[in-house]
Amino acid sequence: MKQAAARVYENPALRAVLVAIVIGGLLLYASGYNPLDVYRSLAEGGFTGSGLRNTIKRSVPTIGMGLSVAIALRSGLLNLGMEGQMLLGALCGSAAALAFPAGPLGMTSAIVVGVIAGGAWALISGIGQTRFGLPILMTSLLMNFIARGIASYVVRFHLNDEGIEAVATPQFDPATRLPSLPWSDNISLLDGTDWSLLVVITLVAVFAIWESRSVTGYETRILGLNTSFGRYGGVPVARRTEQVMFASGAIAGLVGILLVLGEQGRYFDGELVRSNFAWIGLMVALLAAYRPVYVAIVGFGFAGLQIGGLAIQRQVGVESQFSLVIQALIIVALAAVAVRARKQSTAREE
Amino acid sequence: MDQILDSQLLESMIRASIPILLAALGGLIAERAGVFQIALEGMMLAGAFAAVAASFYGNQWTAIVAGGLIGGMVSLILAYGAVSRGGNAIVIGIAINLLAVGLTAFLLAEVFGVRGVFLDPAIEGLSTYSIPVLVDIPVIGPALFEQTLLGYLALVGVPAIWWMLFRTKTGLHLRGVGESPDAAATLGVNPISVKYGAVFASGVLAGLAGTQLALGNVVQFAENMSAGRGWIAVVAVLLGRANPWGVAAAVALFGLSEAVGFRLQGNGMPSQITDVLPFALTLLALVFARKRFRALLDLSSSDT
Repeated sequence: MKQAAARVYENPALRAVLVAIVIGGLLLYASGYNPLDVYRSLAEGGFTGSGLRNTIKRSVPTIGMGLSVAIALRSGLLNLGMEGQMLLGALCGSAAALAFPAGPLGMTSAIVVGVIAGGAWALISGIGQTRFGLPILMTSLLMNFIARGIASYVVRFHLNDEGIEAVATPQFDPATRLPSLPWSDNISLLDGTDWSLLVVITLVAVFAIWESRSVTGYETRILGLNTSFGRYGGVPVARRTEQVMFASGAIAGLVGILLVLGEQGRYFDGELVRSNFAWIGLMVALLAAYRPVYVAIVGFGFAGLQIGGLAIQRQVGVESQFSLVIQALIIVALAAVAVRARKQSTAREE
Repeated sequence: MDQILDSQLLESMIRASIPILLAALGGLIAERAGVFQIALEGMMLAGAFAAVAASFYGNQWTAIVAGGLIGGMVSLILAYGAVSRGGNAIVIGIAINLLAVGLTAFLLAEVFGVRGVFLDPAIEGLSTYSIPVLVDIPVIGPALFEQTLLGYLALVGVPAIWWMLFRTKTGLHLRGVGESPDAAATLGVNPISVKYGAVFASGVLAGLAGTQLALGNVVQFAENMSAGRGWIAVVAVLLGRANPWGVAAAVALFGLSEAVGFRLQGNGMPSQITDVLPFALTLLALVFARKRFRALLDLSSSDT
């Protein structure tokens, strides 16, 4: 027991979670709630029954965006433009879905266009850094606000469905939308879950294999650990930077188009920004230390926190934003408090 | 075109610039001390919330104190993590920004029982004071000499911080710690406490920026009301090379584009386009100033 406790304390991620739970509990106590009741309700709401079903669905964006950020971060690139990349992927993909004939062709072209749009938007930042010396951190971030404007403008003035009150594109044809998983009728946990879940799981596997088995996976990992070393070792830094940025944006664009082709069925203006998926993906990637399998685990956990957050609002009356507070507290704790242990553990890995 | 460029444009440009200028002045102090301050957005939002809450229960004076103090307290998370524990300032900053979004929305609902926008007659806005004689100067008079106290603080802050940085012992220590902590330490300066002080000052200024935003420009709190201004302030610090005059010029450029955008919107241009203007212009400015960012290009070293 004592040993297990020591192990939790030594693991920076678990330590950060522990610190966040304690601070969050104090916050709840100060707001006049019983923290234990709230946490129980949060866990039950997120990880049991119909809540678990929603958590599985919500894992698609949290894991997907986590992968998008992780692939950039592990290569030493701080891509903060994943929100804009996701938006433009969703927007351009939606335009394709409406333009092409309904059915498999419409669906495929929507996904391809979404992936390319997200990747191209990210590539601009990549090229900005490699050819013009503009830090990706700044350009990618500013481009989020530009993407928001573009997406909002196009939906409102060119793709708007006048038939409904919300600003949104027309509904996609059912044949263009993502089909439900074949087993979803038999397994109640997967009820209503579509193919996007399988796409994201495949992505985790591809990422893991690429990272550990390929030359480019190794080269970009070296860049993330020490760019100068990589350069002297003959890694084509500029080309790898551009490729990684394209891949990161492409994944973000893919997540965006999967969300609108699946659950939402049409592109609602502002919906993807409000949901905070892009920034939650960033937190997932950080807590997972950029490793794909951990991204899947943490992404699932954070999805559960969000779904559980809705439950505590219904059941205990705690504002659902409490789940964002907990997620952010975990990352603050990870970066500010648990950092010593983290440094030692990466030193051992090397 | 003359409908877009008239004397009131200067006024609305200054108005848009003041909160960003306050935050950016804070950012440059931290930058000079060698701490990359990317949490301005979050501290601004936290300051805005604290100010509105304090004004609701008290008055505009308690609001100013609360806004600055909460901004400063939030910044101590960054100081502790980045200075004492050697954590990555960028990661901590991003986490603080997200924490501020969640925490203000949470408290808005828990304390005031509202979501989205909190508007109440009990919230007292900041008074404006006009300086006699000067305010009568055509064009620049009403734009510059009719401000809230925080507005004057921002305007006076530019020369004052320049003077502090380059003409006082404190400024010398600050820059010394930023450029070479070890050398500063051998001269008897404690780098840790100088960095803590600089980060705390940046937090106070960012908190006051939020106060001005929530109680000077409007009188309300809205979720996520900083709306990217803190990020613009971060870019302004880089563009202005952490020199108060340069930073002020970069902020003015942003304020001008926001003011022009607002005007164009009045002339029927969709807000979706005009909202983009400041960010597009800032991006363009980055392209012209591109030789300055070497240090930010390589994020693999953990001390960025």
